[in-house]
Amino acid sequence: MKALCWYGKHSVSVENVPDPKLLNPRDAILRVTRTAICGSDLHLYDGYIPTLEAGDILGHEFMGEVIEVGAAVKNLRVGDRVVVPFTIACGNCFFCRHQLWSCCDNSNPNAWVLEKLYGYSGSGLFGYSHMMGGYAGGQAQYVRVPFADVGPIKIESDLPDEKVLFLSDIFPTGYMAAENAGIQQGDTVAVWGCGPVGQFAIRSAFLLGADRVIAIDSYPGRLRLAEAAGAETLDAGEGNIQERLREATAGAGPDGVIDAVGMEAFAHSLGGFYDVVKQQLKLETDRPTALREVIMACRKGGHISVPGVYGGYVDKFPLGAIFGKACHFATGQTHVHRYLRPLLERIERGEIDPSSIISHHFPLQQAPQAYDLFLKKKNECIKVVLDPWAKAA
Amino acid sequence: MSDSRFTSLSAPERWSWIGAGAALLGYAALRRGALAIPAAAAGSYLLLRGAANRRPGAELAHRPGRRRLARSVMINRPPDEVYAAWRRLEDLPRFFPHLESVTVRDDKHSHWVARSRLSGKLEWDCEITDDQPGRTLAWRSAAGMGFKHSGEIHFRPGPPQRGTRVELRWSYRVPSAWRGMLALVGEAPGQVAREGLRRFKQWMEAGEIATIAGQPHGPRTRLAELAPLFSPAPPVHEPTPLRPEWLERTGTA
Repeated sequence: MKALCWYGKHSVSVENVPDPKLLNPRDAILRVTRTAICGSDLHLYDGYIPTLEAGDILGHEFMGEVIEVGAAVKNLRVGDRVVVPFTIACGNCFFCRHQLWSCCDNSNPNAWVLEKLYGYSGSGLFGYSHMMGGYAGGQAQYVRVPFADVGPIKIESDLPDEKVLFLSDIFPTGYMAAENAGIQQGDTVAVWGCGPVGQFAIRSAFLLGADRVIAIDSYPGRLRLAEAAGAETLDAGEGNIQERLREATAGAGPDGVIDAVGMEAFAHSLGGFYDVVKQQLKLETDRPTALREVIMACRKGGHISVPGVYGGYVDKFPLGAIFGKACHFATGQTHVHRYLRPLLERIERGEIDPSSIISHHFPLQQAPQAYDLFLKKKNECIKVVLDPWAKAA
Repeated sequence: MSDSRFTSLSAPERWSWIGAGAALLGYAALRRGALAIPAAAAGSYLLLRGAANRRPGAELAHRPGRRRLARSVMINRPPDEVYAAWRRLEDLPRFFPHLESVTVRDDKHSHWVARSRLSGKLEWDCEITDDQPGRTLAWRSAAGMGFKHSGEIHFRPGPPQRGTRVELRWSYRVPSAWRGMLALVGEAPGQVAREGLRRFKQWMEAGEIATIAGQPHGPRTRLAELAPLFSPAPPVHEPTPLRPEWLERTGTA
């Protein structure tokens, strides 16, 4: 089959590789019908996540048709159309039983690596480095899905792939981010970063009853898309976000603040430049430029929600501001499994159309160009969907 | 602390080892060439031993010290079930990839074959010294064979709704000089025990052992091919079938 393989910083290519096989009794094999490039794939592409190995297949947002199931998979049949959560979870451990699916104890074969880094290991992930399990990803024509009896959700309606594909990651991720913002009636929520996760966080905040959402980014196309969802917008390039947010909230600050930017924040200030330098010198692994701003902007007793990906260590983390304002702080890999059913129902009821954020379609063959386009945000690129079976144009 | 391995060196001796180490490292840095790598290795060793206030080579002069370790894991299944699965000794190679086979001779006796990346094949006979179903199992290796060790494993009810607290205690002799090297090749006994318990937990809770061995990937570079050699969690020998009781007792909704 054809699969997108990682070979180093800014180096990916489509290779011919063997088809995946069932390895465990709870596995299934899918023929991938649609897959997407996630903003977090760019952290891999930029070389910021360690323990990738040359030749690893990327991709953790995908859906497809079941073509083979293991002996223990009783709920799926060949031919079923499914969307697969990017977090791999066994369904039986303490964490899965408590709906903390991304903390599954039993799905990461390389848990020892993360234990050295984080103390304890989260679940395995598709296509996201060997410390996260080393599972081959779904930017491929076929993919092996472990624990297929608990993860995948069947799509039984005739909704097109593009409307349900993002249940695999970014829609639940944006939704959990909005939940973590502790939204109550009358709340104003500010969202940093209007990429795909930010877009879903904005839409989810409204679904959860936010009165106002203020979206912050510096790409006009992304701000327009946020506006289309009903958000007010602030162009980060025009400076002094703190002052403008304070004015927009009559001096109180937003009730909930969401960092949908993560470890590769851009510099709009001297502080941003400081992080770029420190990251290049390996004095910190992540650039918390946006996160600092998010924390400073949060109102007293407000909720700070961090769906943006962080991998290691940051510097000048304003813990004092969180303490001094008695803020809540919530973050983590998305517990995708909990959101699949309720969010699918919202899509079926027409409350949200996830396909509205797609900016580009490519055949898998052209995935390397698509990565480059997405990285440089050329042609107002927001979200790329790949068709593993389309002929290259 | 009366063991002579732990006695301090005199200051002059200590500084001479550090000096010799630094000199060898300096030589390696300046001269490069074929001798540079062994010189750097020897230099680092002398320097580190000196810094640690131990005489270089002292580890070789002593017989292997007795080491103990304890590792525990919480398993979300009742103690009887967890005990019963561990008691099928012939299944243990599924969890401990360094074990090649366990042959059960009778209720008390078994024969074990292991393979270490460092020392190659090891064989020993094992005798069960205490067996309390649902609670405890203890064993020791027969005198004069292969890998000398003894151990016990306890299964106690965890807090409400948390399953079983499994505690493995292990006492063994490994030449001290080997310990660092074992860690380098991913065979430090503490890590071996932890990885084994982790896989046992997977088998008990998830019915199978998570693996990526045998999945596709693009062409690898040489360096990427080497990575698994140093992993404390090497792939298991062959895919494991589902734990037989899993579907009826655990299953997934």
